Amino acid sequence: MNTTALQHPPRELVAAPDLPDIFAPRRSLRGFAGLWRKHPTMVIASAVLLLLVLIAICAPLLTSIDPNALSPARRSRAPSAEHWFGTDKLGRDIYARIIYGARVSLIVGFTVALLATVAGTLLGLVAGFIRWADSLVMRVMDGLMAIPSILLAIALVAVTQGGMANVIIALTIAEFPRVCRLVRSVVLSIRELPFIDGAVTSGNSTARIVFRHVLPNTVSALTVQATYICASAMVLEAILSFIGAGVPTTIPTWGNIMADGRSLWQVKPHMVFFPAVFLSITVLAVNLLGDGLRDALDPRLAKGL
Amino acid sequence: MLNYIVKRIAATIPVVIVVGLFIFGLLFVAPGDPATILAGEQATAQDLAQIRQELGLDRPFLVQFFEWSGQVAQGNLGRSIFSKQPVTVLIAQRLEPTLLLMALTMVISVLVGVPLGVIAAFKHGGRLDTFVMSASVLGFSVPVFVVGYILAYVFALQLGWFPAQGYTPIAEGFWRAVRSLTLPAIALSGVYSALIARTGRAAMLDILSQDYIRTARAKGVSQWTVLFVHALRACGVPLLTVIGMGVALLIGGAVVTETVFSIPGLGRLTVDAILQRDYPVIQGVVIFFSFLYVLVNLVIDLLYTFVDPRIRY
Repeated sequence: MNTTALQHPPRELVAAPDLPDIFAPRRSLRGFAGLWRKHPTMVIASAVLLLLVLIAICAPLLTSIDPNALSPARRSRAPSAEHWFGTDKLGRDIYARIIYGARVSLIVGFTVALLATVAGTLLGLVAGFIRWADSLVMRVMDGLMAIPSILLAIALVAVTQGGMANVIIALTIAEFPRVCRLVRSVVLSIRELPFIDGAVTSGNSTARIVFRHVLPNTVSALTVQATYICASAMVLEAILSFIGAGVPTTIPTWGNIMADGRSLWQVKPHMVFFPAVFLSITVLAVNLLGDGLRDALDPRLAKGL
Repeated sequence: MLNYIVKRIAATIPVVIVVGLFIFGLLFVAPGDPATILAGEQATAQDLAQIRQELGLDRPFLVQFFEWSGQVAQGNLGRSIFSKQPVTVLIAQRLEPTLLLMALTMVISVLVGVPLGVIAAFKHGGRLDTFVMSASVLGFSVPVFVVGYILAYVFALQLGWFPAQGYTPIAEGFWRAVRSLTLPAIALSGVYSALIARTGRAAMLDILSQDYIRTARAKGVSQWTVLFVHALRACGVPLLTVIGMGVALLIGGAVVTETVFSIPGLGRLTVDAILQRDYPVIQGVVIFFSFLYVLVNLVIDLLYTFVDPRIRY
């Protein structure tokens, strides 16, 4: 009888006291729900961008109107059921032009971000690892950064006679020095860390150290920077088109549409308003994605800014 | 101190050389003949021959570059293809509205950005902070010409408070000139004040956790004095740095803003030059603005020691 009581102690004795739950197990949410809870703006921004990419890809499905079709009889119309965003001074449908213009904006933004990141990373690694190249590379970067990016792009486009490829090259040259500086500074701080000494003493080649041990440590900073470059490239492309130094006017871009509406905007604000809204929302989404990535990938950096 | 000034000025020399090499080198990297780019598409054979002779295109690149740099150093930026006037004269004619626009933007941005940054840091994590940070993302994202059109639509076309476009020269009254540039300056200050507010906030967050701030509070200094006198002084250097770096944004933005508001400044000169394929003018404006940017940052570097007496060279 007694032994059984010991084997099965009364419930009251083992029950945990009813303390306040200060160490409540954090339910860590995984997958989409967790992302949504922690970084809601990033999710919204990604969704908006995804939508824009879909719009750009499916442009021919979203409108049956040719964005370059002129119809002088219907020029400068206000928005209506037939022409959702109205028509421009040549009678082209602004909705169709904006839908197709998304392609240029996204292609330029993504390509410049990619090219500038690759070029900047390579040069940054060179500057960070090869001492004699460091001051040379950095002086050139200082010089390039002393030219305001819009003017640098204007000068480049002016000698190469426009075209989308040239705009992309011009913007890449304007943007990559920032990446180069960033990578160099990360490399300089990493190469002093003990694990690099360890990698050197265990006989790794320089190339292996650079690509296996240093490069991965620059990835999070680079991802964030690439997003900001994408946003900046989209704005710069629109500005170049707007002032007539960008993509040829035969290709609809948001900047070109605004440039076309410039002379009439006081009486027909819709010509400038719709492309402006699309451009602003896109750039905002990219910037918010960048902020979200920064918070998620590098909490130290997030605290300051 | 003198030693430092000399060193700092010497440090700008490579930057200036790289800028020059880039701008001059563009002519040779670009497809086609440099003489054709400089003389324009309608140039006669005689024009081309003259430019070839002036540049000495048959000589080595570096010889040409040194000669060209010598010309630039003497203030000779070549002649416009279109108006045949010296580029320096064209720049001088258009300088006033652009410089006034930039100065006005800088004043507005500092007056808006600095207090917002300070208050956001003080109310760190609060609603006001969130608001300032969100507003700064908007400031970074909405392109300057979009802001320009919105402002012009509301305050010029609908309310009629300011002129929608054009510029009144200072000769016709300083305040009239300021009034004609108010909307463009507000549009341009969006990005700039966002940058200043963010940097100010970050610097302020650092400072506010320091001992001397606690001491100041403990001895009963008012909140206002702590924030705007004790703490803000210590933020002087990062703020000055970002104000200097932001001048690049300001220059680029001025080109666009002048187009939106039809202001006859350097930006307008550049845009007209693009449309007319007037390369010497574009080249001249780029050189002018780049040197201005380098100069502003040089001055700011030299100002550090006045703003922060702890910095001694």
